[in-house]
Amino acid sequence: MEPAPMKHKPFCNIRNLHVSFHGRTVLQKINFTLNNKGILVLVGPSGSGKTTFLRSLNRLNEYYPGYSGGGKIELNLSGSMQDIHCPNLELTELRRQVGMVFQTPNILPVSIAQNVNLPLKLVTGLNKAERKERLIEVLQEVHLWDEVKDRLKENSSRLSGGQQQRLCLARVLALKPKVLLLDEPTASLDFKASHRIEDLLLELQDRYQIIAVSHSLRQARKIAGQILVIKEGQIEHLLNKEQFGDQEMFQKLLNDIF
Amino acid sequence: MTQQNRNKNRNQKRKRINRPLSWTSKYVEVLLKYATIFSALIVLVLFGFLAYFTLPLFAEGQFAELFSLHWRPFHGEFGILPMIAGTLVLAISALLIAYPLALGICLFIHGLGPRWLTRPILLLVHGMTGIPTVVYGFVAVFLLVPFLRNNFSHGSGFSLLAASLTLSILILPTIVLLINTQLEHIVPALRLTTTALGITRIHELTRVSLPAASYGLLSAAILGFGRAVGDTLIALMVAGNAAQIPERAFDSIRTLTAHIALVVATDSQSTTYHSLFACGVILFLTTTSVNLLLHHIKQRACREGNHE
Repeated sequence: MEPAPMKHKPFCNIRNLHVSFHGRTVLQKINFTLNNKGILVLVGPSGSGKTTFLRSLNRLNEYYPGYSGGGKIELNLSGSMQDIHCPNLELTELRRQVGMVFQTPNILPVSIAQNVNLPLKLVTGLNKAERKERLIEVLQEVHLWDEVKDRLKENSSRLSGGQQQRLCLARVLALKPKVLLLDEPTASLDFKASHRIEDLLLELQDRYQIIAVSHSLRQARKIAGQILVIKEGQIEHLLNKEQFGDQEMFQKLLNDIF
Repeated sequence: MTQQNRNKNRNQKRKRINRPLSWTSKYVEVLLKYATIFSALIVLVLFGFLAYFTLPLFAEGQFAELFSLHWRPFHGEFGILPMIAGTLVLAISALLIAYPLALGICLFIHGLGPRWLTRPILLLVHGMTGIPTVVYGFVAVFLLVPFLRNNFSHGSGFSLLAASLTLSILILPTIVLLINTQLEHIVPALRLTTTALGITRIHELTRVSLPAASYGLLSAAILGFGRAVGDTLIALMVAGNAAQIPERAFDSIRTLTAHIALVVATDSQSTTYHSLFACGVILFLTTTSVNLLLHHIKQRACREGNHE
């Protein structure tokens, strides 16, 4: 396991970030410094720009048509702060280091093992033995190994939704990222599968900086170290554990915001 | 999906179909049923008709002569082997030229080329499907054939090479559109995933999307081959029509389809005429097997969940 980013050192520094699509502003005047204090959960009404915020960090917004944006984002990827728009930083390398898991499990139409192996091969160029080792390691890390070890060659579409989502997480972890971006990772899952993912994220938070969008306040309170409230494309509040620890106070605060 | 689930689904479908229907739906259903039966019957009748006319060849013991290397009707030799060979060589060579081109075009419009060029290229390819075959033949006769004749001192220019180049242009749009439909279905879903994982565009296309579209790629090749076998006019106009086994690219060849067209135009009585039905049967069986193969591939793709 690679060493986790040092505690309480700024992990992410965003200055004057703004993003728009086809001329319509989605995010504006975002200034934010993230210190590593566990999982950062983004909450806010739908359409407030949570997902766009998340996608700014691996520059995935640029993938969508009509994108324009500006501002400066620095991430602590290799011990020091690095500007993610710096031309020296390859986009593919940034996306390897800033892994992303989507709302619905987006497995590749190949076998369970290949879902982890293929990106691993294409992105890192590890040899077969190393890949095999990494595959077992990450499947154990997401607690999927015992469920799939006898059916690694089966098509991954045969897994349940929760298993598929854990496979997607494993696929990202295999690339040894520093940051995990999770876009409502449990939105398509049932209650029990959601719980498993949440517990898993709590286990992983020491090893990776996790930034997640959540639509569920229950979930946000359960997993978050800090909660960032986004409304109409701007940061409304940054709440720490004491502030959202008290459910009544938290609810009142959110009622004011939404 | 397990067998049980499949049966359940099927039963549900049946139940849905067995709902009481309104008068018009019933009428439409009956109409469609008869239309289907009628179409199927036509195909069967066609095959029966071909088989019936081929029968005299069996009765007169001339069947073996069909599979000889010589077509000399005035000497009583009706070998159609040269035409079978000509058809196969032409169809395969046209496919060998068109397929890589089509694949290249599809990769270009699905990410290797600039996005703004996608639509113009697709429009062009769509436009190509509408051009009458005779136009391609005509252009080939006046441009390609003289070019080959003048630049390579082998024969008249009417040759296997000229025909396969022209035919490849004819089957190109079919193959492009088929592969494109597959990729349109597959690429958008995969691209976001692969982009987010840091996989490059070229790797995504060659290592993820194309393998995922493998059944579509195969059916595009088979359909392209089927079209190449079935085409008459190009071969008739530019292949030279000499009934001989092709040995070189500049050899004049004759295909089964061109052979039928040529003989029908001049004769309708003798054994020569009957031998055409054998050609017809062979073509019929070829296209039928192409279609069955496509059907089989599609079913397998559906079963494995790689399609739809």
